[in-house]
Amino acid sequence: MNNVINQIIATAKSENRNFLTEIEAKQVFKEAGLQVTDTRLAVNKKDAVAMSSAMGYPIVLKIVSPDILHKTEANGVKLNLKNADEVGKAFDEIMASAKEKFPNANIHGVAVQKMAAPGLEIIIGMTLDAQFGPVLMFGLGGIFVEVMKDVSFGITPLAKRDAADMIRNIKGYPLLNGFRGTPKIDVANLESWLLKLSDFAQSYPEIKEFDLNPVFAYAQGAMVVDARIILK
Amino acid sequence: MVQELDLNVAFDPQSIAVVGASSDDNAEKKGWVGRLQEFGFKGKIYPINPKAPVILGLKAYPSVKAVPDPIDYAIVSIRSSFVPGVLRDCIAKGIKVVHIFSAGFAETGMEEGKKLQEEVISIIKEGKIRIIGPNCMGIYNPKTGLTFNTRFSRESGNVGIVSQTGAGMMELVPHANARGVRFSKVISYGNALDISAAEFVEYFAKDPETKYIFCYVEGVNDGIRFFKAVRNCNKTKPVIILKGGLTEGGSGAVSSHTASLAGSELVWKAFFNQTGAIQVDTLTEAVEQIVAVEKLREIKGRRIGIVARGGGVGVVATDTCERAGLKVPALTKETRAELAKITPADAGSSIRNPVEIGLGRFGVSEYYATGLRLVADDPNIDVVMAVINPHVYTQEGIGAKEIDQSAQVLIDTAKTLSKPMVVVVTLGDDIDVIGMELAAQEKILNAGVPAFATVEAAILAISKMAKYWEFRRSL
Repeated sequence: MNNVINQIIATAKSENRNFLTEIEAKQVFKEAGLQVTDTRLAVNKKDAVAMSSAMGYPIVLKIVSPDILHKTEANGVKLNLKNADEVGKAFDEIMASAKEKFPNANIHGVAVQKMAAPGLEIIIGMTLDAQFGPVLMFGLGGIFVEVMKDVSFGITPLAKRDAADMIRNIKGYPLLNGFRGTPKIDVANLESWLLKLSDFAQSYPEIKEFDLNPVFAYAQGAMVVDARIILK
Repeated sequence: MVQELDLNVAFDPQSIAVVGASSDDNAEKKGWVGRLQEFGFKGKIYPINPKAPVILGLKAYPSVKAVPDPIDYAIVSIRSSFVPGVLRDCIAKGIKVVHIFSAGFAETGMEEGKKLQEEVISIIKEGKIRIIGPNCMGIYNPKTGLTFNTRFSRESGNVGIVSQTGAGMMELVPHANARGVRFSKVISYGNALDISAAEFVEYFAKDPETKYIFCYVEGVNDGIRFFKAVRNCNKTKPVIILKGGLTEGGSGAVSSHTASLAGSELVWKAFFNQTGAIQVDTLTEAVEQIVAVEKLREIKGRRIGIVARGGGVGVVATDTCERAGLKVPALTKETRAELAKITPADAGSSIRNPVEIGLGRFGVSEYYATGLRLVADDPNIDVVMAVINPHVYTQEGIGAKEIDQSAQVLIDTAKTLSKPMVVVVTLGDDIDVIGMELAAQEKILNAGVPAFATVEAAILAISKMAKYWEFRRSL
């Protein structure tokens, strides 16, 4: 059992909420053994700008609030900010938009992270199946999941071969192998992530669902770019 | 927490109490006591009914507690509201397993039924008793004389069934018996408020009498235990599963992509991928697959050699094979040269693959058998399918004797072939000829060679066995 994870869950429970913020979710997944983008919470514009300078540009800002689940629809996401001015302006816009659309929301601040290098977009999720308990999902992000519904599932606890099969069984698998000049993706790393997430889902029965969306997968390694965890 | 139990006390009891046996002998003849007597149960039967001193020639008792001798197993067939009381008596008497045949519990969806089920659950939590059911047909074990239908075969075999439905098994068991299949044990478990499908699968995995397992499930109470039981069992004994109710919508809130995408069908797809269990979609298909799993030897690849008659039949069969994931490769030059020697050069003969050796008016002959052997020995072939259509030749003097001889040639060939072989005996449109063709199928099946009535059924069953053996080799 991981103390950091338990602490984060306890904090959310004590605040009577089931939704972990992006910052908290990423901390949890980092503890679970995945690579996550370095994401920090800025409560004011000055901090946002300072953090951006420290991390390096381009920067992404995202609203952080347990009451705002769909950040993009709330105009709460600003991408590709190239300098301190743009970060400052974006910070103000995000906060103004949040206060206007969600006047009663508890706003923690704004998440600051460096834009991840582009990679193959992957989605990994977990849900509780009525028959089998924690079930993992794997798919290619964007339209592959949303339109084609090209996903595979795995009942936990996953055996090693199950993780490999989940990845190989999606129709879009050739894209992971390199296609028309795109690099061959580090599938072994994704397999190890699925096995870690299987252990993780089994170890924390307080968790009802999670989404890692998107994950950027590279020729070596992968990075969790956004994450969401919902408690029971 | 209810104790672990050796389920053999239920499958092989020395004594059975039938609670709720009718005082009307004519009625009970068709009831549990009558059934056990007719089927030849060798142990002691104690009918329990306060209103009759004797039932079907046996001494009856007012309750299980009144029986002086020990009782291993009880079948309870009374109104659901009386079941809790009877259960308490059974616990006091020291009965280890009870089959509650009665309906009227949670399956009714009504408050009263649900409350009765809760009450039964709480009773068994206190005591040392296990329940099969309620609302189920219980056990068929030809070896020990237990059955829920006297039409089932008295001969035992090595196929075990775990089924949520009893009615479906009334349909399937005789059908499978007619196809030469014999069962070790069949269990219809109904509501599974105690002993579940998972526990029966675990039992069959360890049961030396059972080599193949078929499951019919709709909902599984303890899904993870079932998943692990099937995954484990399937590594050494093939498990065939028909999942009923697959196309019901999935549950779940839509607060995440994953939850909204996880429907029943996709999760069960994962179940089958991960366990390697063989999936069938209908009860009919289940019978065909049980025939295949019991009689078809291990297949080492997906390449099939087809020996049939006439162009169209072969072409369509090839398409069906390819769609089912089987390959129909060309035979080697050497094989084709050998086949040319024995193939008469008349219209309708071809020696590619499918191979048409010309059945002709002599029935399945010696050179047909040689042809099958040549195809089987070809290095490009993993499994052979021989298709015969006797009704096409009955106008040329072929009758029951020739059809029976053909069956014998096919049996003798199949048993000594270097590769696994299946036979398809298609059915004609004349009732007498159909009778002869079915007799041929039965003869072939009873000799332990897989036989089917259509090419499609054979190909589907073969392709699923090929996939299963691939899975086994990958472990």
